[in-house]
Amino acid sequence: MPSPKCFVSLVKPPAKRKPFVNAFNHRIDLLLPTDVYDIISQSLLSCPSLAAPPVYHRLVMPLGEILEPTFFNTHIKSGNILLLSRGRLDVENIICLSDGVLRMNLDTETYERAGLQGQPAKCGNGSGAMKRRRFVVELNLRSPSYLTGSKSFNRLKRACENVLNQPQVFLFADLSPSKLSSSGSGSSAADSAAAIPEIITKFPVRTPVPVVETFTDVRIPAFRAPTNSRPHGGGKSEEANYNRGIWRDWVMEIHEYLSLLLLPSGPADRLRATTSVDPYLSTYAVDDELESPSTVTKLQLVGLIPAKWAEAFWENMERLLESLTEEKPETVWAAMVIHGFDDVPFEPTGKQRAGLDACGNAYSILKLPGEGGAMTWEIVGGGNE
Amino acid sequence: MSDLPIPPASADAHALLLQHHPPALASTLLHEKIHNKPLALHPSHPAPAPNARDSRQRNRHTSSSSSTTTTSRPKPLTALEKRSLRVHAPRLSSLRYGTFLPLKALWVEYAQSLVAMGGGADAMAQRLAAGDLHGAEVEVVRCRCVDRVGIVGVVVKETKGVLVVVCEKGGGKTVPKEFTVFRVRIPPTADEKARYNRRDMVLDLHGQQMMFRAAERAGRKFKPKPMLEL
Repeated sequence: MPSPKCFVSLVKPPAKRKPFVNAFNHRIDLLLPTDVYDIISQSLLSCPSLAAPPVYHRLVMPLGEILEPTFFNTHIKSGNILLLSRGRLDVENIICLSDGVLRMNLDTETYERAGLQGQPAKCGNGSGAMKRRRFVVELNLRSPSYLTGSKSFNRLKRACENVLNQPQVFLFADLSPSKLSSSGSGSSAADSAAAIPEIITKFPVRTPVPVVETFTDVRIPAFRAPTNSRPHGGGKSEEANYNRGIWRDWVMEIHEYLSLLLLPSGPADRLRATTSVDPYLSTYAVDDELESPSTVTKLQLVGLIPAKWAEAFWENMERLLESLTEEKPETVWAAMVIHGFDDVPFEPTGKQRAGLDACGNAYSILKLPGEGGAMTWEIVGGGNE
Repeated sequence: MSDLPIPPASADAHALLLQHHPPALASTLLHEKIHNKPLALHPSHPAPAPNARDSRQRNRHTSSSSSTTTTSRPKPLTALEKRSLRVHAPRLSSLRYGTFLPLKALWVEYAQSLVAMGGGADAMAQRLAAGDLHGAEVEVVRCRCVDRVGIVGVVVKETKGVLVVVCEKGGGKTVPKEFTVFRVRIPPTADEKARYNRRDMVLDLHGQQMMFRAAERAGRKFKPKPMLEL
């Protein structure tokens, strides 16, 4: 059973952080100390990213609709969209489209009937009766061989008419730059309205609305690495090993703290200032906490959130934080956790994900106070528990 | 044997022997081992020009040692030779769809008569499974080799492992039966359509289970069989 992997990196400016690229994300949680949030909330909520939130549609349509001329020309050949079908990974057939590449994870019967060239999936096939269970089809719809009426296009059309012809639930997001930058100036709105395919107008636009929650009386750690600890380097001595080890432990403790804050039913009881529990039941304590518990604000967005939007959002927020006049710089921190969709069969690079990797990727960023830099945790893989 | 006279033809040989052996032994060796024994030599190179007598002798020998029968009928071709002559290969590029339209109409009538015989699902299934396919319009609907899906054509030839179809655009395609499902439609007769508004009868034939020559399949009793994979 493959276990999830966590990749941690710490980046101090001027080094650049590796950008976040997971295509399909469904939730973003932003955590800030409340006093910081109060100061920047106005500018945050009116910053360019949030002023144009990532709208999406939930379409119910057969796959063939994307081959209709309007849709095909507007969104596939010239625009940039995200499309993800609903289903359980490796159990049902899942179709996703990102960056103009249509990828499908199909079972044997659908694959053999569809007639589209693909390969056996890397995971999900065994030996004997399990030899040809799942197949993976990847079609680059932006390539010039896919024009209306061409051979490849006709093959895909035939497959959509005969095999993939049941209406399915898709999440659809239009990522084209004109959409993102226009804030409803008259002429561009008229242009874009003319080119919107009919199928999309049938389903209402969904706009994620940021939901703000405040948690009072929460213990907060100081987000300082233990003395002498370091991520790597320092030699092979016992002491150096220890320093590296305690850095790793500290990093995972911080991550655990953030997850405890983000529990669906509110921050965990252990984090509350008023907690008192028999140490026989739990010995958890927030390491290195600040003297007095204070309040934390959580801003949550749920929807189909593209990676670029999340990056822009984080950057806006970092800029706002930098522009604060800090009396106590060690209390200024911010964290963002992005949850990828479960059951997505492909990484943005095209790498396949297995049924046992059904759980979506999670990506957390923490801006450490002061000159600490930014720490990122990338959790990849892991099944649904 | 040492007292036998030396034949004059072997005088040189005798002289050679005398250089290495005592006279008595030389004489014995000559008479027992050398005289009258044939000595094989390599044929001279280049071969000597055939003189008339030698040619006649050679001809006499070969004609008497040839085949016992006097007939000279041509031998039948071996399978390899047959295949290399490609007499039976369908010339796919020269097939034209129009040529086979009458055959297609004929098959439709034949199929409708098979259906009209009635008799219950099992009997019908047996009849249709063993039915002839020449002239049927067939569509490849599912295949382990994915590129073959979508081939549509009128069956022109059926062999043990293959259906050869002619496509509407012209030209033939050879579709192996293995791991392939063919869909055949039998339209209703005009009468049935008018009276009951019946639609096409659609059959999915699993090629994997039909790997027989047309003639063999016609007489075959198909037993119901559980099937996991194609």
